[in-house]
Amino acid sequence: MSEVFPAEVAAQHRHDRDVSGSFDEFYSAELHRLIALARGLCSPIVAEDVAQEAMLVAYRRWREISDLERPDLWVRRTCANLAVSQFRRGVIELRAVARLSMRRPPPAELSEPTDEFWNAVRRLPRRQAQAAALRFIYDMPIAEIALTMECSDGTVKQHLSRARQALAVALHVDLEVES
Amino acid sequence: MSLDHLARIATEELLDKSGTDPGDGLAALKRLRRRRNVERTAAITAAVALVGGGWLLAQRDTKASVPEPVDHHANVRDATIVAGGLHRVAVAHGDVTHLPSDAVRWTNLAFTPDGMQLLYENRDHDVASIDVSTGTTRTVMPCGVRRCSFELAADGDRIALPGRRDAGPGVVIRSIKTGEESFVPTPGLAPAMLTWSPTGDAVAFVTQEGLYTVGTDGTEPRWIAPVGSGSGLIRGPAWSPNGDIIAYIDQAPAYPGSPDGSTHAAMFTYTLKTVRPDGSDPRTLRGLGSCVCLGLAPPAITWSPDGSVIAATTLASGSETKPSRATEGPIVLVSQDGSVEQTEWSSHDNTELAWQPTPDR
Repeated sequence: MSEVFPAEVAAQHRHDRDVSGSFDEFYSAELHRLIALARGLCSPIVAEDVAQEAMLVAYRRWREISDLERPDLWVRRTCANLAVSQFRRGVIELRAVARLSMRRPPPAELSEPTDEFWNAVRRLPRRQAQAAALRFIYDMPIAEIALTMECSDGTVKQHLSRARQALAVALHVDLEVES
Repeated sequence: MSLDHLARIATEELLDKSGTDPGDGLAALKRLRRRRNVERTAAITAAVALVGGGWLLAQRDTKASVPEPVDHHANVRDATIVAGGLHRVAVAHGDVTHLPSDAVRWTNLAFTPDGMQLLYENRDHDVASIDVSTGTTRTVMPCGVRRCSFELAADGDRIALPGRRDAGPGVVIRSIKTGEESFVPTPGLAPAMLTWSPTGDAVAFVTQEGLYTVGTDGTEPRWIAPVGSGSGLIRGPAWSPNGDIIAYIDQAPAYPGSPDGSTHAAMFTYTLKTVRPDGSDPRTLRGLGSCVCLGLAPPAITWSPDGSVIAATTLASGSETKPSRATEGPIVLVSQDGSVEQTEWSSHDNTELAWQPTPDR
């Protein structure tokens, strides 16, 4: 895809991605929002582990992943899929519980309205929840969400539209977009 | 409270409370990897075997989901400006792709009302379309003339073209769905560069005398704006989505000469102007640059779908002693009060603009 980018746009894209050949820098740049993404999609107790798990896979395959046009989207997809997969999350939860018993500090509590909001997101159908979380946490454009979720722009729009309607009903709020 | 407001607050708090020290996490991750390598090769306990098996399952699944480069023609975002031209490049918030290879060099561009199809002129001088999500192209309708300066109405069905019948010049209107055709005469006026009213009951067009409007019911054309100077031209009119304003580009010739007056260079200055459909309230909004254009296309404009701003390509302005050829200036967003926002995109030679509508926002 890079061959169709004008030089100045490609340079800007690379600059905006803030990705270097170093996994360490990639990890530091991505971890914060990755944890937030996981926390938006699954239990806060395992969110950090889910994010770490996604990063572990990226770390093992870094030579291959770093050559991708958007390794950041790759790891976000991995994290989002892990977060909504009950089987894989179950494995992660076992480890998380074990670590909790070792006095690991619990995740910071959210205020009631925020907790209610993200609970509503987690109750959405999986793909709607993933699209909504990517949109909120990363402020990603439709096309990037589509790339991340490996679907069409139209499908993403549909997921987001349905997610918004479901959230508005669940949270008893208006759908009006703020100016 | 609106959903968007609640989402913003909830996201900000989630991000605030999801912070962690990446240094500690990275060290833990590397230790974890080393430990897992040992545990996998040792295979010593059922719990470790379960962890390892789950990890292997995750590996297989993520292998299947390694992203491949997207390989279709268009990958546009909502509220995207598409710029086509010499390089036939679409610039969309940093995502760039090519318009179809069969698009003519100076093609008109128009999105369908749902934002999913982009209409253009192909080399067979047909109106063609590209699906912005799949890249699939198809022929929509034949133009029947070379240089098909088509304009799509807001209904997404009717196309207006300059034309001529036995009675004289006028505007040809064709339905994409039915193929039905009607003709609106403009006696004595050879129309060019058309733009539909949003209600679809009128068309504005340009002649050498200036800017006109004509009703599709065949009422007498109305002159609403003159050219800015005697030997100038009006170009690229665009009717606002709410129907209140028609924006256009005024092209005025300028003849800077060398300091000693021995030579002259032909140079054009372009200015973005607006007028109401009844000819009232003429305004000058912004200069779009000057050039020794040597036949290259002038700037192009298009309204945002909400009618709040006008996107315009610009030219790098030259001086009287160093007039410039048409070069890349930024695409700018101009408001009715004349305020300007510069975008991150650059114009290219012979750029046309189209702004993708997003019905669900």
